[in-house]
Amino acid sequence: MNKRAGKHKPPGIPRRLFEKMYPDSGNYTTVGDLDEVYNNISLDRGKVHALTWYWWQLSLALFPSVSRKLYGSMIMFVNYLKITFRNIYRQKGYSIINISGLAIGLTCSILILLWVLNELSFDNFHENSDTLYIVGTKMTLPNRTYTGTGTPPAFGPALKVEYPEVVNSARLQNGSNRLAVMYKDKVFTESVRFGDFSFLEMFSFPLITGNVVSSQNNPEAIYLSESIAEKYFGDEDPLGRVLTIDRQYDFKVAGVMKNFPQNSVVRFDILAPLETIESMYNNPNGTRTWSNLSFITLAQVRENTDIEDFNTKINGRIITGNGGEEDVRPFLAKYTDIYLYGITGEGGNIGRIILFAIVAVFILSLACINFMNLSTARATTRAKEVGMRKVVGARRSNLITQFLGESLIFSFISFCISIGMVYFALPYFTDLAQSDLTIGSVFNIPVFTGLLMIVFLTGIVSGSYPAFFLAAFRPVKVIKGIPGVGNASSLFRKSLVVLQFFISIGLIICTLVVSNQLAFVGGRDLGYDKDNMIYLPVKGELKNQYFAAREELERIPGVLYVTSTQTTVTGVYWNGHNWDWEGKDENVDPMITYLFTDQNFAESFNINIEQGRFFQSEFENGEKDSQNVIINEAFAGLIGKETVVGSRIFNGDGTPYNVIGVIKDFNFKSLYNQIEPIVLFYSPRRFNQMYIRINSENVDDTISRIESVFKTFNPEFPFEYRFLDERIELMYSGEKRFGNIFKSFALLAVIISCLGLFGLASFMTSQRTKEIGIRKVLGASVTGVIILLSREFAKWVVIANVIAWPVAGYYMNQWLENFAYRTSIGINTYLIAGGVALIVAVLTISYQAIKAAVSRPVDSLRYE
Amino acid sequence: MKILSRTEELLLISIWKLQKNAYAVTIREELKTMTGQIWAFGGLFVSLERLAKKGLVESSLSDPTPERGGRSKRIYRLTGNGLDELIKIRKLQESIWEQVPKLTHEKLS
Repeated sequence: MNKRAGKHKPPGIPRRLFEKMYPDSGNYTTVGDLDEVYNNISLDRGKVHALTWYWWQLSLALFPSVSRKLYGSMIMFVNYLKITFRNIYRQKGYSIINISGLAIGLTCSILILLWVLNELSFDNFHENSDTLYIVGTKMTLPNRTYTGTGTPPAFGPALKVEYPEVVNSARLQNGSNRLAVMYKDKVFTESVRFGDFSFLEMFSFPLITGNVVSSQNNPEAIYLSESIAEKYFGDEDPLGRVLTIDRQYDFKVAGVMKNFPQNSVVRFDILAPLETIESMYNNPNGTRTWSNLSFITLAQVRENTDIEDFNTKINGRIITGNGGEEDVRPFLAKYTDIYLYGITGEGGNIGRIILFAIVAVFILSLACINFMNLSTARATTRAKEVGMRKVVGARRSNLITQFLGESLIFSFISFCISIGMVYFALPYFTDLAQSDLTIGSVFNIPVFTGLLMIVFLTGIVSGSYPAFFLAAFRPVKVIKGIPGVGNASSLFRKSLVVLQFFISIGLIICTLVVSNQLAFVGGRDLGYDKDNMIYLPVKGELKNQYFAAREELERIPGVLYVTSTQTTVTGVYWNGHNWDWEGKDENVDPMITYLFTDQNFAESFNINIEQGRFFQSEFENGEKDSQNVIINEAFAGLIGKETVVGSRIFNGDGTPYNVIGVIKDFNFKSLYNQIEPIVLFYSPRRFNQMYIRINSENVDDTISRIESVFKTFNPEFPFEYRFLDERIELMYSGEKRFGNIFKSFALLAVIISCLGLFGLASFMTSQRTKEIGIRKVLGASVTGVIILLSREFAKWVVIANVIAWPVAGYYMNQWLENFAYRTSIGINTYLIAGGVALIVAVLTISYQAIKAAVSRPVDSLRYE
Repeated sequence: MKILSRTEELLLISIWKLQKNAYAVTIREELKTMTGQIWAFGGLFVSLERLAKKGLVESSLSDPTPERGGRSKRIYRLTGNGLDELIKIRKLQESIWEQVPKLTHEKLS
């Protein structure tokens, strides 16, 4: 037999399985024996026989071995489950604290996760998202550079023609126009976007009906969104129907776009050909010029284009701006990155997203800490069980599995509850976060698996420490009841409580600073009077008969002042540089903002005239004041002379202007910015916005009178007005929401921490029942006992304060650096945050402390 | 005296017969030649284990042999008790058979 030995070896996989099931070290030598027989069979009867035999042996062996293992673990599993539920049931208080804490934590994290996913999904739905780019421009001026997305309209077509890498390009007007859109008797003001229709080819905004035509060849085509089509045409087929825009321009509906998803940066309802603006704004070269940087250019590049190479290639190209002197160079930036990172890598939303993700992690970890703390604190109640299990043969690993499993059960119960909580909280949250999340987004497979992972992780994290801690008990000690078992980890527990309050206090400080900053900015003087001011667009006949209309309006009793400007006073964006004046520092070239207005402006907005005069009403035809300008204090400061009135300043083209007055600084951009120099021109032909200051009484009556005046001048345009203060409110609503969200999360953090503290306090006092009894017998007063019990916890909160103050202070100061106008973080902020945490903590504890302190010593001592 | 089962008896006999070469594979083959039946390894090991518990059989691991892919054999030997038991069984059987009339079909017909 020896001669033929060892020629054939059985296949590896089943052999390894045998090795697993019957290791050689045991009583059996199965693997070797089977090898030998396999060899014999394959020599005698062939390999096939041997193989079938071998596999048959495996199948025989597998079933009993596996089923025995399963059966054994099932028994233990059922036992673990039973014990877990028994414990939950028996210690309802702790279970409620644990589960509700975890559920709140999970709810927050789920909400934030949904929001973060939604934010991250911005613009990711485009099929070509890998090849879609937006053209950015870098403008280099002598003393600084500007980066933006403004490109001249001629660049888009040139990009496609001149560079083989670019497959397609599209231009969009920067921002939408509010225009009257009419179909039969339906007239509404809508946002109309002018752009190339190639936009619809490049981006995945699918058409429901119709197809994409070229905007150059179809100057009368127009695309509507589903909702607009329904608004105007109802059930009629919209294709080919004629809409009139701005009273004069007829367009035929060429297609209906599906409503743009809310996670798209670019959103509009009506897309009209870009070329329309040439006639609409009386600018025959408007879409072919190189000297107007107010268009967005989008490009689709060939696949696998090295964008860095391409950018170095086009960086050499100067796409000349206004005067032909600026150094404006283009570059391509990934379209899908704009929402998150912005065009320059600044000003994107990624910071906010990360911030909230961190908050979510914080809140969830607070809940985990509760669980850890309460589980280890109550270890004594489980110590005997652990001892017994060890005595009857449980290994450390069994116990760890048991306790980890227990915390997993807790976290899954909490998860079920939190799904319900998310369902009810979602409407409020979407309101706060201004996004249309639905409960449906929880139940798609990737999100749900992600959530399950979080739940699993929560269970593992919160269960790990208690599991190892409990499993390490020595049976002899715990069964004999040697005291001090539960106290071994008290330092760890204390540091966890400190950590909890550190997080809570940190969040409170952040919230306070954020809301302080918002209040500070919101409370800043705008420099003008925003109350009782309505504004409306100047359109149609109103533009031509402005002065007549103004006179009519001023006759209405409730109307105090009427003025008009070219751009809204809350966002004046028209500007230029290269201005010159006597004694100008050649090294600085500030951007000067332009505002075109009439003579009523200063009076209507209640802006003080510091020097000289404002435009005067006797020059109603505007001729006299067309070379005169008013500047603000910031500009006057730049010129630097004692009296600026009477001096001459020159614009970029060298045209001279006389400074006739200086007005007080007012805020014409965001309140976060410094007030920049501005020049006011008298130019009644450029008016787009009319501002009417009205009396605060009989507002409705006044407005209906204003409406009737409008109808006489502009019967075909809808009358739409807004209040200026509401508009300003709206401008800062984003920050306000941000502050509110932060507030609610900080509140939740404090609630969770206090839940944990409550549980811990009730446990600790129950541990000290006898001590308190003895103290009382020996003459301790109720207050003395309360102080005794509270002091311990208060100490931790104070320590947490000491750590949280500098850390939160450091980061919040960094955050404040982002603002030109910022509040400082006073000691008040810290004291309030610390005080709130301390008071809430003490109140939480005091319930337990008072209960323990007023109990009769007889009750606690009689068992002794 | 405990009476061993038939299987155990056969196992003891084959181990004695194989002397120093008694391990699972050879024992199994021996049983096959003796009884004509193929035994599963599982059954073999369980019975051998039981015998070892009763102290009738002892075993040791041999050095790893190349013929088994570097794995060692578990060689089984009869203990003193095992040998006694086997002798007893044999005596018992022989004495029983002596007292019975000769075993043929003739008597029945």
